[in-house]
Amino acid sequence: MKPVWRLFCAFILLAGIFAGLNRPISSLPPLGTFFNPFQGFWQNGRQIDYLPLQVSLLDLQRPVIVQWDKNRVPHLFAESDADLYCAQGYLVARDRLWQMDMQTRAAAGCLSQIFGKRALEDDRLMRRIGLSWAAEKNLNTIMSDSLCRLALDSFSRGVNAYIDQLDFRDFPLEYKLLNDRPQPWSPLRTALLLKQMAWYLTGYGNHVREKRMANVYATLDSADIERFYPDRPPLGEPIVPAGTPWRFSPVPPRTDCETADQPADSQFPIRPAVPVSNEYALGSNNWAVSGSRTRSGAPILCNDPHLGLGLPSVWYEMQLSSPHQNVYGVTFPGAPGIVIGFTSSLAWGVTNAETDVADWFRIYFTSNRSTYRYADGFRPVTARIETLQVRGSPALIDTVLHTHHGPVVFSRDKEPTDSRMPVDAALCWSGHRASNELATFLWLNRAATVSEADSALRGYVSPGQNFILADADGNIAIRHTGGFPIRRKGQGRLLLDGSDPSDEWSGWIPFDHLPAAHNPRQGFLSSANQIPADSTYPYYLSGNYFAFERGNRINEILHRRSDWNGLDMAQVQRDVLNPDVPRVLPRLLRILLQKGVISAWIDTLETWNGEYRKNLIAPSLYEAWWQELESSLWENHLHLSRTGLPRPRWDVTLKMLLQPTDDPFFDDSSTFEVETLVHWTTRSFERALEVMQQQHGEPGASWRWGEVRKTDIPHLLRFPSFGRHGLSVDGEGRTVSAVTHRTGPTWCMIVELTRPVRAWGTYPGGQSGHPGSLFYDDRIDGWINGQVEELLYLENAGDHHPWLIAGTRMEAKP
Amino acid sequence: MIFFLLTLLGLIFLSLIVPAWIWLLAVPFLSACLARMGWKKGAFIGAAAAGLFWFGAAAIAYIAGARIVADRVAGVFGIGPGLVLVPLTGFLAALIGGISGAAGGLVQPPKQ
Repeated sequence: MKPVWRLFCAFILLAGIFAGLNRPISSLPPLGTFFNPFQGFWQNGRQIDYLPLQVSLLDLQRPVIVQWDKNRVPHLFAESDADLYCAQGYLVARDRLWQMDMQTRAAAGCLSQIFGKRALEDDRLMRRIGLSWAAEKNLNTIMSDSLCRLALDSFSRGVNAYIDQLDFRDFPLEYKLLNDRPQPWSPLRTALLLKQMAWYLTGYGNHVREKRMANVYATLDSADIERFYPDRPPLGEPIVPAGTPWRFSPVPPRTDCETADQPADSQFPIRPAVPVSNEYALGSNNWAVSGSRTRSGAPILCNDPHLGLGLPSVWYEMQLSSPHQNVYGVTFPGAPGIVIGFTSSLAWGVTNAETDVADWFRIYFTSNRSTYRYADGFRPVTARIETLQVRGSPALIDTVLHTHHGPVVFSRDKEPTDSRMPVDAALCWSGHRASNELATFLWLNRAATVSEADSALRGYVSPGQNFILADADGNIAIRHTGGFPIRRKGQGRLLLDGSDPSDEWSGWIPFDHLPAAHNPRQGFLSSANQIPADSTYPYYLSGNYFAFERGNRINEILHRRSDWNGLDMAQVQRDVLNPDVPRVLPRLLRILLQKGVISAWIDTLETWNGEYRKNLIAPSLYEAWWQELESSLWENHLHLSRTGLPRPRWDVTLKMLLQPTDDPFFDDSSTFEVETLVHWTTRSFERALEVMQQQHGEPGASWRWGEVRKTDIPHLLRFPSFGRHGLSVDGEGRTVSAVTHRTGPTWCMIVELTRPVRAWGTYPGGQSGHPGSLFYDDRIDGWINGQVEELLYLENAGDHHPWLIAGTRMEAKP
Repeated sequence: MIFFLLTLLGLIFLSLIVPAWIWLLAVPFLSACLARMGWKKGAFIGAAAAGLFWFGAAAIAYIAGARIVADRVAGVFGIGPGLVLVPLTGFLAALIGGISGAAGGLVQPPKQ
C-alpha cells in the first residue's frame, strides 16, 4: 500500500475513534471526555469541598464576608443588599448549579433539549398548562418592585459570575453525564422556579378533582355523595380555632345557586376510571406556642414542610446579613432571600393551604376554533406558539389556545398527555394571575414583628400557604394566605361552563377576610394542611385538605404542657403515633375476639400503642389489615373497579368503621345473607396475614415496619447510586412525622424567640448538590434518627464560634 | 524504553497544558510514526504509555478524594465499586493509545 493510502486509512481510523468517543452513544456520555482524568468525572471529587479563602467577583461594590460552619452552611455578611444577593447567587450556584438549572428547564418545558423525545410529553404539559406564560407575567410584576428587581438582578449576576468562570472540568457531574452545559441565569428562571413550586403545591388532587367527581355525580345520589365524598373532611379541628369570630362583611359570590347536584357534563369523558393512588397527600406541619406555655416565656415556632424527598436536597440553608436584614433559614436553590426562617426577633413557617385554586371551564369553540362562545356572543381565541427544541430531532411547534379563563390544556384534536385532565377545557388557576410572591419573602426576611410580617403577606397569591408567625414580643399568628377565589357553594367540584358568565369566579377573597388567628386564648396555633376554618366561615372553601390525624395530634400534645422548651419540640416533630389506631383498632380487635379468631398477632396488636416505629411488626400488620378492609368495603359498596369511582378518603372509611356493626352499609347486596362489619373485619384480617406472608415471607424481621415500608431519597435523574434508597425510617403519612415511601419532612426547624434567639434544625440531605461531595447526603442519617442540630445565628461578621470552620472573603474584581 | 518514556512525557506535558483526551490519539500516533516503530511496537508503546498515564492519574484522583464520585459513577454503569473505574480508565486509554500507536506504526513502517 502506498504511504498516502496508509496515511489516509490511519486518518479515517483515528477520526472514527475520535468521533465515537467524543459523542454520546445511546444513553452513555462521550466516553473519551468523561473518563479523562483531567476533565471528566474524576475532577468531580472532593475538590469542591475545599472552601476558597478569597473569591473575586466583578459585580460586588464592597467585600462580602462569608463564615462557614461545620454543616457547611454559609453565613453571609454584606454592606448592601445588592452585594448580599449577588454573593448568595454565587454561593448557591457553587453548591447547586445543576439542580437549579435542571429544575427551571423542567418548568420552562425545555427538558427535550437534553433528553430528546422521551421528555417531550412532560415538556408539552408544562407549556400547555401555561407555566412559562404565567412566569413571564409574574416577572413583569416582580420587576416593577424595586427591591425585587434589585434582588433578582443581583442574584442572577452572582449565578452567572460563577458559571462564567467554569471550565468543562469544573462542570457538575450531571452535566458531564448528560453531555450538557449550564445555561445562563436570568430573573425569568427564578420566576419559573417559583411558578413550578406553585403548580406542584397546588396539588394534583386539586388539578384533577373535576374529573374524579364527574364519575361520582354521574353514579351516586346526593345523599351518598355527601356521605362518601363530603366537601369538608368529616373529622378534625380546623386551623383557626373554632369559635374565632369573623369581623368582616363577606363579599357575596356572583350567584348563590348551588352547583353541588349539577350533573356531569356530557362532553366530559367519565370512563376509564381515574387511577386511585394509595399514597397520602403531601403534608406539612407548623405550630407556634406563645410565651405563656414555654419555660423561657418566649414563643417557640416550629415548621417541618413535607415534600417529595430528593437529592440534591430541596432546600439550601444559609444566613443572610446586610444593614437591612439578618435572617437565617432555607431557600429554594435559584431564589434570592430566605423562604422559611427567622430573624433575631421573628420566625415564620409555612404549610400548604390545600385549598382548591384550579378549576376547569368547558370551552365551546366555533368550527374553526378561532372563537368560543361566551354569554350572548363570541370571544376570540389567542394562540401562543410554543417551540420545543428536541435533541436529535427537529423542533416541534405546539400551539396552545388561550381563552380569558386560561389556556386550553388539551384540545380534542390532540391526545392528552395526562388522561386525568379534561379536553377542550380551559384551566383557570390562581397561579396564572400576575403576582409577586418574592416580595413577600424578601419583606419577611427584614421583618421584626408579627405585625410587620403580616403586612408582608399582603399581595401573596400562589401557592396558597398557611403562614405561621411568632415574634420576640410574645405574639403568635397564623393566616391561611393566598389568592383564593370567591365561589358559590359547590362551585369547582365539577367542570364549569366556560360560556356562562355566572359560572366564573366572583373575584378573590380579600386579604383581611382570610382565615386568620392572632394570640388565641389557648396559647398556641398550628396547621397540618387541614381545613382552615370551621363551618361558620362565610366564604366557600374547598380542597384536598388533609384528614384530622396530624392536626388533632399536634393540638393534643401542645395542650398537655405549659413549660415547653425548644428541644422538647423536636420530640413533637418526631411523634409517630397515628390517632386512627386508638380510635378504631380496639373495636376491630374486639370483633375478632368475639368471633373466636385465634392468632398470636392479635396480642401483638393489642399491646401496640399506635406508634409507627421502624422495628415494630404491629404497624405493618395494621396497615395490611387496613388496606384489605378499606378495599373490600368500598369494592363491596361502590364497586370501584366497575364504576370507576375514586376510593373515598380514608377518614371517610374511618367514620364508616365507627358505625354500628350492622349498619346497612356493610351488607353485600349480592348475597342472601346479611353481612356486617364482623364479616369484613374477620375476612380482611385473615387476608392481610396471607398478603403479609406472600409479600414479606415468613414472620420475622422482614415484617418490621421499617422493612415493609422503606423510604427512598432519589436523585433528580433517578440514578440509584446517586440517591439513598431502602431507608428504614419511623413514621407514616398520618403521623406528625409524616414519612412515606417518597415524601417526608424536608426541613425541620424549631425557633425559640429568646434574646438572643435560639434555633434547631435539620434536613434529609446535605448542603452540596455534588454527588462526589462529603456534604451531599451527610445529614440523612441524623434525619433518620430524628436528631436536630442547633443552628448558628451570628450577629456580626467577626463573631467567633467553635463551629465555624472557614471563612471566605468575596471581593470586587479589580 | 526511551520511546515509551518520550510518549509518556509527551502525554503528561500536553495534558497539563490542554487537558483534552485527543492527546491519546495524537501522541502515540506521532511517536510511532516518527520513530518508525512498526505497528506492533507502536501499539504496545502507545497502549502502555497512554494506559499507564490515565491509570496513574485516575489512581491519584481516587486516592485524593474521588472515591465517592467513583462509587456513584460505577453505580450508574452497573459495574461494582468505584475502584474498578481506575483500571477501566487505564484500559480505555490503553485501547485508544494502542490503536493510535499501531496506526502510526503502519503509516511509517520501520526501515528494512
